[in-house]
Amino acid sequence: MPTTGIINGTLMRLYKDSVAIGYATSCQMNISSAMREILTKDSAAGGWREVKKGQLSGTLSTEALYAGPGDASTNYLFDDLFTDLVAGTALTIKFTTDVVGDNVYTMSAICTSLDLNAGVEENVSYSASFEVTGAIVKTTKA
Amino acid sequence: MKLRLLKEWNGKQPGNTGVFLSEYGEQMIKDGIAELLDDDFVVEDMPKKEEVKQDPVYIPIPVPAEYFQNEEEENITKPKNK
Repeated sequence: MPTTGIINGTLMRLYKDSVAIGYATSCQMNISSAMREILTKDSAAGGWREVKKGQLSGTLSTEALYAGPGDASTNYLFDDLFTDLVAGTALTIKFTTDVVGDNVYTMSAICTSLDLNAGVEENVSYSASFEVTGAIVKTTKA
Repeated sequence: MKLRLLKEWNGKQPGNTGVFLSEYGEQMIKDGIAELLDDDFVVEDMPKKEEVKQDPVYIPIPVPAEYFQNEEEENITKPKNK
């Protein structure tokens, strides 16, 4: 049964293949469509800009707390993303609540940046950005 | 779903815990690789910031001048140094 009403953001998270990206505090998916200008001398728009849909693109980002090799979790962590970024590996990412009937956004994405932050008397944290390559496919969790 | 590994998986040691998509997790349970954990189990125990206890603040209470006069009138006998 799908989630009713507004979905609690805690449940919706990024999974690399089928493993959660660990210690995440927030996850974002951005989908955008570039516009191509079609204004010509023959247009009847009176000088106003006219556009049509161009390239579709997507990005992902997440903010998370940092845990090193001593962490006893099977989740996907900073060190795994570091390896992927250096290798330029395209990852299969799913953005979902994992609740039956809810949406699952599936895509292939490459990690493009990692920012590791260590402030005095603060948790070590990082943010990761991904560029989607190919289509973002929306399905329903069966 | 939250799972605990029963066998080594992807270089991760048995006993390690994690969050998996349910479809994949169910297969891991069937294959005997992992066991299901309770929903309340905390896989990711976020570090908690230590609370700083503030020292008590003593606020001087205003007292009438007579209070100090009485104090001066008291006969305080100091022990003599020998």
